[in-house]
Amino acid sequence: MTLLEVVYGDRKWDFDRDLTYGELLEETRLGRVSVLVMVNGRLVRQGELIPAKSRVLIINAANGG
Amino acid sequence: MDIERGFLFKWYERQLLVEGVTKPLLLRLAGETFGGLSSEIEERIAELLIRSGLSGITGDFPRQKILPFYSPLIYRQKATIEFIDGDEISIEEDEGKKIVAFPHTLPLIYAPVIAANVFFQLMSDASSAAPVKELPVSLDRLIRKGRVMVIGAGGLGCPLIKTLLDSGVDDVCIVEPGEVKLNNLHRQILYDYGDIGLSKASVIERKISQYYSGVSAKVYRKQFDPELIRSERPDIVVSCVDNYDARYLINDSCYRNGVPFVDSGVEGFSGYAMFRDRESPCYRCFMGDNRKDTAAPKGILPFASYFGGLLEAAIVISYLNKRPYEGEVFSFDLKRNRFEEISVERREDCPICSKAKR
Repeated sequence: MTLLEVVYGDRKWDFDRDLTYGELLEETRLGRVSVLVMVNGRLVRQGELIPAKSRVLIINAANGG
Repeated sequence: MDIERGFLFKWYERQLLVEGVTKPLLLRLAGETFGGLSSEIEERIAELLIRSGLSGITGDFPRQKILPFYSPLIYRQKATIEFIDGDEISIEEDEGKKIVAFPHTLPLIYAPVIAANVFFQLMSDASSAAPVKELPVSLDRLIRKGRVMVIGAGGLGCPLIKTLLDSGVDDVCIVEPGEVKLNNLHRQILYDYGDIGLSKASVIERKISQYYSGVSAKVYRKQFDPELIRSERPDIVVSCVDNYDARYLINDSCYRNGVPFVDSGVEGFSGYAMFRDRESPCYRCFMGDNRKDTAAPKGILPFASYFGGLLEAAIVISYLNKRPYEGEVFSFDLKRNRFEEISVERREDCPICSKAKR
């Protein structure tokens, strides 16, 4: 089975299906955190579909200085 | 100096980004003592670790000047941390001493990466090794001059300003409205304990006149105002601010005036750095344009902001040298040794840089 692999810090998830951007944040419970989502190195935005087999990295939308 | 223990523990929790700081932890950190520091990169690593909470005595570093209350006053005769040359970044125990190895051929920009490795291994009491990653930018020698505007002189701005001036940049305009506070000292490397209460602008002006006599520096003690871009006419702007709103303002001003800018944002032990000009998608395309700042800013470890500042300096120097950084957004996580380049596309509905607005 090919999986959608998601990494955020030390946390990891595997999904066996396509997910929308919104579903991804809901499944990972990161909807309330200010984050950016990268799929295979490309920044994706709300409304985009994230296909299975993808490597997803979620990072904080850092604004400190 | 008499500081309440409860305050000190809370202060450490905030600065180290850990919960439940205890006296044994503080004593363990305070007991770490550096041996002789034999190169600039070793000194930078030691400074970052000392500002991070390792407060053992070293004859090579003025720790008492930076954070005089930091030490529970454990004076050790022998060093507990020693730097050696090695193939990888690693820390190993040897008869009570921690041997920190890293390739001594590494350039200075790696200092925060090594400091982060050491810090996290000390905090977890683990021994491990991390491969050295290749970074997309390096701190090259400056061969062409230019006027650089720096907005913000905090955790990002301090290492950026020092590195630019050390590299030969001699025309700077710095915009910083704030005063030096106690909780700035662990990562804002241009300020010491004696500067608390003074305006950062005045401290920077003093230090530049003391240590960089040939530098033309205009320092504004005020918030960034887009008019400054038109009046100061910088070749490049560097955003070292600590909130979304200021970044939106800088992005929009630079884009409308055709001035390239470099930005970095940090949080905890991670962050990003990037170069933007009219040819690239703007900050709003990267971050979205509806981010809201929260009232309570998140903690930042010293080596994260230091690394962000060094990356910004490297990008500025490469731009001035006419070899601009052509990568996308460079993202880093120093706790997990994770470095990524992020591809960003221009948003068709971007209010600043979409083709319809150009």
